[in-house]
Amino acid sequence: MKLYYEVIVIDRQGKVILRENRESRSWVMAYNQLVYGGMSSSGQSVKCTDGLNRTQSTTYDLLLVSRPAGYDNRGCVVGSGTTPVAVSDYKLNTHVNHGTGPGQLEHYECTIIYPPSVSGSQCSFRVKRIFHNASGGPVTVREIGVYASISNNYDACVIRDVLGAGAPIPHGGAITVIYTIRAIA
Amino acid sequence: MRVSKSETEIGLWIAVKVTDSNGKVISRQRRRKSHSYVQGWNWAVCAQFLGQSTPSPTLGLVKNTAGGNVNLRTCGSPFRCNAGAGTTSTGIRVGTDNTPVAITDYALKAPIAQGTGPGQMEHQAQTFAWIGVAGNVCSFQTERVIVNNSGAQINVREAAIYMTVFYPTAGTEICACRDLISQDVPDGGSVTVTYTIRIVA
Repeated sequence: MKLYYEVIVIDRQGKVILRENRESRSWVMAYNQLVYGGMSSSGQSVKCTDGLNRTQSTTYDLLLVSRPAGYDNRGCVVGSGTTPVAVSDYKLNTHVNHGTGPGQLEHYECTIIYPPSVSGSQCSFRVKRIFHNASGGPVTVREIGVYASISNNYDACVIRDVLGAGAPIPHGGAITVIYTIRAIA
Repeated sequence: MRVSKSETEIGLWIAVKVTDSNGKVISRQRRRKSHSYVQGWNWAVCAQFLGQSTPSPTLGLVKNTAGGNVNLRTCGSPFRCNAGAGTTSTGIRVGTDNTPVAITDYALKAPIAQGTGPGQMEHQAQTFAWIGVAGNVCSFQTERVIVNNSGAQINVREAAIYMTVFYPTAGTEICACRDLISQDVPDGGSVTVTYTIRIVA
């Protein structure tokens, strides 16, 4: 299964000032734990984004990624860290929080673009989120990822990438993050 | 163990072993990259990404392993394939057809039924093993032994994982992956299929 991301940065006039489209570095450990737990019906102890280990659900609320606007604890997330990706990563290096304060970005709704579509030998769907900069100054995004639920109340990092180049978002601008999850036969 | 990212991808691997009636290994297909997940897997992941228990939106129609169209939604037992002995609705299955894999495959082409009659095999319980992290790799395995007590050789040509998903009124099963294998299983022998799910950072 392949994973790709696309990052698009626009200025306050809506002009595209940066676009990066490449294969994702990686799913990380929690994804495999959550799938393992689901397949085997044996809940795993998963390190959550707050650094604490908790037992995953093997029923509902497993791998939920969609999230309404204003929440920065689930769905696509962005950060400013540059630490290389490791399979044991459990959060972004330096998470950018939701808000309009210095260094913050407004998190729009995280949407799943579905149903999965088949084209040739591929089947794909996408995860998308827009982050708007109303902080009053530039905010530079250097890492992106996806946080997913392990149970009703807790989340784990399942994807993390460090961008090829930092994405400076001017005040009034926005960054759109799109992940494409693709099965290829 | 450190695996070069350029040599790998987020992957599914398959290994197959055949024993005779004395338990001696007579054929082995060493671990190789699985041909592929099929669309059912991506639908199941998408359903989980999208939904929550209440309410749970539906994704649209996808074929279950019986060939019926089901309107998939978030599952209360996602990806489940911990089949017990004798169960063939979920877990690893094998079949006798060698039609090439397509992304739209929704079942084995010619699945082998549970039993000891002609052309049938006995399915043992599916097992799981968490391997964990080694270097930049994180993996786990799931395996099933399927025994031939039919009285004659059975030529196994395909393998797959069936798992539970959910549609608005009940659970159903979809095919997560399909692979072609070529193993002749003698009477009294068995075939062991091992899938490894591996991510490389």
